[in-house]
Amino acid sequence: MTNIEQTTAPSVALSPGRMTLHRALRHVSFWVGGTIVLAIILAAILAPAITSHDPAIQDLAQRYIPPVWTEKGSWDHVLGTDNLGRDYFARLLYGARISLLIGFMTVLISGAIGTALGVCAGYFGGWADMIINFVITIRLTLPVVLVALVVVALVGSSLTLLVMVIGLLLWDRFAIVVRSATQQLAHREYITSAAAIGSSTWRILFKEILPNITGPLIVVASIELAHAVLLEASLSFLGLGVQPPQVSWGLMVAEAKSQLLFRPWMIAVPGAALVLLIFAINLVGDAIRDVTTPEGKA
Amino acid sequence: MMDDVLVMQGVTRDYPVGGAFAKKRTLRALRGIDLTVSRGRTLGLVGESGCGKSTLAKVLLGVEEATSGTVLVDGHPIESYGRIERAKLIQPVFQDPYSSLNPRMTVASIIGAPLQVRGEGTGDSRRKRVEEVAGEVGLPRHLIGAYPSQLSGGQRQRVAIARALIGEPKILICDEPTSALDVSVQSQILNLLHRLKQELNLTMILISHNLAVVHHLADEVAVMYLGRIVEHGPSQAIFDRAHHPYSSALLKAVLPPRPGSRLPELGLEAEFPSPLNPPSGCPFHPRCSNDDGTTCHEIDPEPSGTSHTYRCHHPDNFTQTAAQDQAPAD
Ligand SMILES: Nc1ncnc2c1ncn2[C@@H]1O[C@H](COP(=O)(O)OP(=O)(O)OP(=O)(O)O)[C@@H](O)[C@H]1O
Ligand SMILES: [Mg+2]
Repeated sequence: MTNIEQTTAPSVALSPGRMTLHRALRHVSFWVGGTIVLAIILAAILAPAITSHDPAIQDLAQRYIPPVWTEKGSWDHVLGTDNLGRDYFARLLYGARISLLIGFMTVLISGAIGTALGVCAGYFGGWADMIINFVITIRLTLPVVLVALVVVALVGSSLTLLVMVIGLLLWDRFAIVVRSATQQLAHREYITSAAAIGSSTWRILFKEILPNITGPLIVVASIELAHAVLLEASLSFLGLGVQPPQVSWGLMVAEAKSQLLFRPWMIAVPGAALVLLIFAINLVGDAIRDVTTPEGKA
Repeated sequence: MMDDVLVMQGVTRDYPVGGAFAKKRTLRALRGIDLTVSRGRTLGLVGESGCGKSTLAKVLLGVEEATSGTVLVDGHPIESYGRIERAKLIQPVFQDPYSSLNPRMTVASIIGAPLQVRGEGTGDSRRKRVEEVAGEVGLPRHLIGAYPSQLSGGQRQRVAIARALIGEPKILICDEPTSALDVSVQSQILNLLHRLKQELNLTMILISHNLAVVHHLADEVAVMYLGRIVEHGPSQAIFDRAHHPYSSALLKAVLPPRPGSRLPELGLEAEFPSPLNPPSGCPFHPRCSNDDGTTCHEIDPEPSGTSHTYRCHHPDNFTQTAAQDQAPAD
C-alpha cells in the first residue's frame, strides 16, 4: 500500500511536554519569574554559605542596628539587626527556607488530595461526582484562616501541623479545576479506546488522563503555592504559625509590627521579599498557562 | 449460517438527561435492536446523525452497558467476559483520529498499548510486533517514534487501525472511520480495511452516515432510524430495491450531483425527531412520503421479510435503481 499522505516528519520527535517547555523558554515572564523563584530557592538552600550569622543568636548589645544604606549601618549586618540583636539578613535567608518549605509541602498535600478527588469526580461522574461536589462545597464554606486559627490554637503549633492544616485546607481549587479538565477528557475517543483495549481504570486515570491535565495542574499549583506562603505568613503574623526559634517571613513581619513607625524597614524587608516571591510565582504560573492553553497544537 | 459472532436481542440503551434542577428524563438512544452478524461478514450500519449508531458500537464494545436485552459476542453474553478477554475479541476504530490517539504518547506506545495492558511479551518482542503491524497498515517506519500531533489525519487513522489489530481480534467495529478524513485519504483507508478484513478474516461492523462508503465494503446493510433497525438485508438487495422509504431517501443522497446542480438533499421535510420524544406509531411517519395518515400514525410496524427485513406499512416495493432516481426534478 502506498502512502500518498506521507509527510516529512521531524527526525527527532519532541514530546508535547518538551515542546511546551521549549515554548515556555521563549516566554519573557517565564524567564523573569523563574529566575527570581530559583534565586530565592538557592538563597534559602545556600543560606549558611551566604551569611556567617546564625539567625537565632541574640546579641543584646547589637539591638536595632539599621541596614547598611543608612548612616549608622555597617557591612557586618547588611540588613541590620532586630530587637534582640539577631542578624536580619540571616533571618531573611533562613526564613525563606521555612516559607518555601511550607509552600511546597502544602502544595504537595493539597495537590494530591485535590487531584485525586477531581479526577475521580470528573471520570466516574454520577454518584462519585455528586458526593465529591458536596465535599468541595463544604470545604468552600469553611473560612480558611479561621479554621487554621482554631486548629492551631487548640492543638498548638508545629511545622508539621502547619503544613498539614494548610495542605488539608487548600485543595479545593485543585479539585475544581482537575474535575472540569477531566470531564472534558473523559469523552475523548482515546479514553474510550483505552477502555476498549482492556485498560484498567488505574491505567486510564494515570496514563491517559493525568498526563493530559498537567497544564492546568501546574497553573493551579503555582497559584496555591503563593496562596500557602501567604497563609503561613498570615498565621505567623497572628502568632499561630511558625514558633521561635524558627523563623519565617510572616513571623518577621509580625515581630516587627511594633516598630512600624520607628523602623519601617524591619517590616519593609520581609514584606518586600514576600511580595517578590508571590509576584515571581504568579509570573511563572501565567507563563505556563499561556503556553499550555493552545491545546489545539497537541 | 449458524456461526453468529454478534447477536443483539431487544437491546435498549437509556441515558438520563437533565441537570440537578431540570426534570429528569430518559433518552432512549437504542429502542430495541435485533441484529445478527455472521463470522467473516461485514455489516454496514447507516443512519442519520443522532440515530444511535455510536451507542450501538459502544454497547458492542462493552464500554457502555445495555439497559435491557442481550448482547452475545462469540456465543457468550458480553458481560461474561473480563475486560482483557473482551478486548482480545473485539476492537474499535473511531471516527476522529484527532481525538482517538493520546497526544502524550508516541505512536509506538499507542500501538503497543494493548499488548502492554495484557502483559504480553517483553519490551523487545512488543516493539517488533508494533513495527510489523505498522508495516501492515502502511504506516511509514520513521513515524513509529513520533507523537500524534506530527501525523496527518490518514496516518493517525492507520495508527488507530494498527492498535485495533495488534491483538488479533475477531471483530472490528469501525465507527465512521473515514468521515473525518480528506476525500483522497478516505478511499485509501477503506481499501486498507477491505484488504485487512480479507487477510485476517475479520467480522466487521462499518458505521457510516454515507451509503457510498458502505457500498464498497459491506456484505449486508442495516439502516438505523431513531434507535432501531428499520431495514436489514444483503447489500445488493438494499442498493437495488430498498423497501423502507427512509432507506430510499438515504440512497438518493448518495447520487453525485451533476456539475452546477444543487447538492442532493435527503428529501425529508421534517427535522430528525428528538429521541426524547419519539413520534407515535411508525416513528418515521412525520417525514415519510408514504404516510397514510391513519395506520402509520397509530401502529408501530413490526419487522417483515426473512433475509431482507424492513419495518414499514407501505414499503417501496417497486424496483428502485439508482438510475431511475437520477431523473432530475428540475
Ligand atoms: N453519554 C450520553 N448522554 C446522554 N445522551 C447521549 C449520550 N451519548 C449519546 N447520547 C444521545 O443518544 C443519541 C444517539 O447518539 P449516538 O452518538 O449514538 O448517535 P450517532 O448515530 O452515532 O450520531 P453521529 O452520526 O452524529 O455520530 C443522541 O440523541 C445523543 O444525544
Ligand atoms: Mg457517532
